[in-house]
Amino acid sequence: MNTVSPLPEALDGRKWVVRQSASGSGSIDTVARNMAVPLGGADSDRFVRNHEMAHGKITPKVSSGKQCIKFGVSMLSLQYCEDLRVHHFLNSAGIECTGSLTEHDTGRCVQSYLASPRDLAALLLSSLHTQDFTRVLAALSERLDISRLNALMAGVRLIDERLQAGRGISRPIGFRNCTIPAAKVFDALFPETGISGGDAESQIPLKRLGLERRPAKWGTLSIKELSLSQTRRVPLASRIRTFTDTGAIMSAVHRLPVDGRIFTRNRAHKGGTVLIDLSGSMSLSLDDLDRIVAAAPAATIATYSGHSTTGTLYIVAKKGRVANAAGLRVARSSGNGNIVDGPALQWLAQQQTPRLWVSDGYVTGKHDRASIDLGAEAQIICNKAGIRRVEKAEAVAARLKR
Amino acid sequence: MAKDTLPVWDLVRTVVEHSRTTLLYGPPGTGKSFAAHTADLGGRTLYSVTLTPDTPAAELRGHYVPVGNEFKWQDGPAIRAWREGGRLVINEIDHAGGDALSFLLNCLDSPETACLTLPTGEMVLPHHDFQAVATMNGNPDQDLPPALRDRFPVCVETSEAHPAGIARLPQDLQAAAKGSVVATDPARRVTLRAWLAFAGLRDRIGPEAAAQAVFQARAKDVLDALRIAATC
Repeated sequence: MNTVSPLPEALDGRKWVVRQSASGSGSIDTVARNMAVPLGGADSDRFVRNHEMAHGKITPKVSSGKQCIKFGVSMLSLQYCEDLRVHHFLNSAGIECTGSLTEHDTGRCVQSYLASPRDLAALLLSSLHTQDFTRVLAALSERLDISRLNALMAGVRLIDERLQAGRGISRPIGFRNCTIPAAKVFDALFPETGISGGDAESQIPLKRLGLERRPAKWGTLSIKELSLSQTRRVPLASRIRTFTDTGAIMSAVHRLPVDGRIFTRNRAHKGGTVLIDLSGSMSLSLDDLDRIVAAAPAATIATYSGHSTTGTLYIVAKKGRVANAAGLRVARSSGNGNIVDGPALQWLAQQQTPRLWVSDGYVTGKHDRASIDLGAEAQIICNKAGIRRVEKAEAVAARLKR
Repeated sequence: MAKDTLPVWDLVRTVVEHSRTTLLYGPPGTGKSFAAHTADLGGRTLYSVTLTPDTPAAELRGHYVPVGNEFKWQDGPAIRAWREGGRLVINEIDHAGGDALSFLLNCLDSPETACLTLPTGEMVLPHHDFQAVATMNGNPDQDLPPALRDRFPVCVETSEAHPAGIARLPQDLQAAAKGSVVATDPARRVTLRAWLAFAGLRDRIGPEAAAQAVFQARAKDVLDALRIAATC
């Protein structure tokens, strides 16, 4: 009994196998009841042992890989958000979180993560509420400019706020109520493939959406197409034929004496898909539609809005036909709320690229309730499908021309 | 545990009450001797001995004692249990030396063949109610001579702490004690006696000092584990 060793038996009153970990890190298997931790007397070793013990207490006995698939979050974000929850738990248990990083380790980590905001955010997040945080922050201050550091910190604090807003943070249920939503915010703010669409402006302003404790859900989406009488033909959408002097089949022999370009090649019109949020303050005019169609005649344009628990997505332009005034009135009639941003974005994610989403970024679910969780889900869809958000319909034509 | 098997301490209680010879083995401080003493005696008298390598057979069988101007024979606990049909509890049976071992082989033999001639010349046969319950910490198949092992066809491993012992602890220590009493690694094992000592000291001198006195180098980890287990 004279050697240092944790007491995981206190968690469940069962037999455990504890062994010394090869590195300074720790791991715990609550199903097989195995624990590998450093068995030294240093404060950092004790911190790792307590960290793993806390995982054993509050982390559910489920495969993290399966949870990632089930909730659509990345393994990295799940791990670091759960670590953050563990630190909250240890603090509430009155256990000192000394951290496990030396100044040298911290500097080395920060230096190797400099190119990746996601890794830097993960490092900050995993050290939050421990004494490591001061060391990480000091190392970051030396290497990052203040605006980049502030942006990182704002994101990390938002993730922490979301984590703390959930119910049961110190219980296994906190994994679903706190860790998963926080991991979604993490993935939304720091996507695996860099910032959404390559620019920070197109990100949904998650902070504006508020920390809703009650889980919000998307409304039900129905997709409709306008009838022929509600649309008009777009002449520009006809096939573009260019004449060339090389080819296989002579289809314009009459040009032989003119310029010799007797072969033809069909050239595709500029296309893409535009999804327009028609809720509340957002507006769309016939002129806007015409401008978009002129810029990209083959583009598919859809609008959506909703009311109460349902919403409708109207396809207002497709395959050379675009809505007329009557069609636009029909599209506007489905409600003043957002309600179905998520399902509408999922529809957009399956359409032709480039994909543009005209919205103010204020996403809501059933009963028009705004929530940071829904915002994060919408942002993750945008990140994965390369969807760019633009604030006004006027800006769409310019974007499509690029 | 399968549904058709008894919890280990229920099994121990049942076999100790009904079996002629029983061997209980397992980690120290789980409550083996406690179970041997407290299982229903059925009107029997209880005799208890703890063996060491130097324990002589005379301590079990009996010896002459001076009474006035003469020596008078006095039965030892084993012979008294034989005569009266009592329960003989033999602690640490694996520590028995050669002298005690040869006596035990005879004493624990089956009723048909067990028979002892005392130095007084008297022949003694075991009472049909005689019971022997032996306890040890090691593995009986490895640590007992085969002949002695054969005297205990009923042999139960106590792989859990005795629930009555656990119930004597405060609620917040019970889970920790239940698991750590039977920890696989002997270096990590904490006996029920240690937990009882900690519980008693904690109330008087505070948890930090009590943990330091009882758990030494593990004190901080034990206190941290108790805090983690108690937080919800």
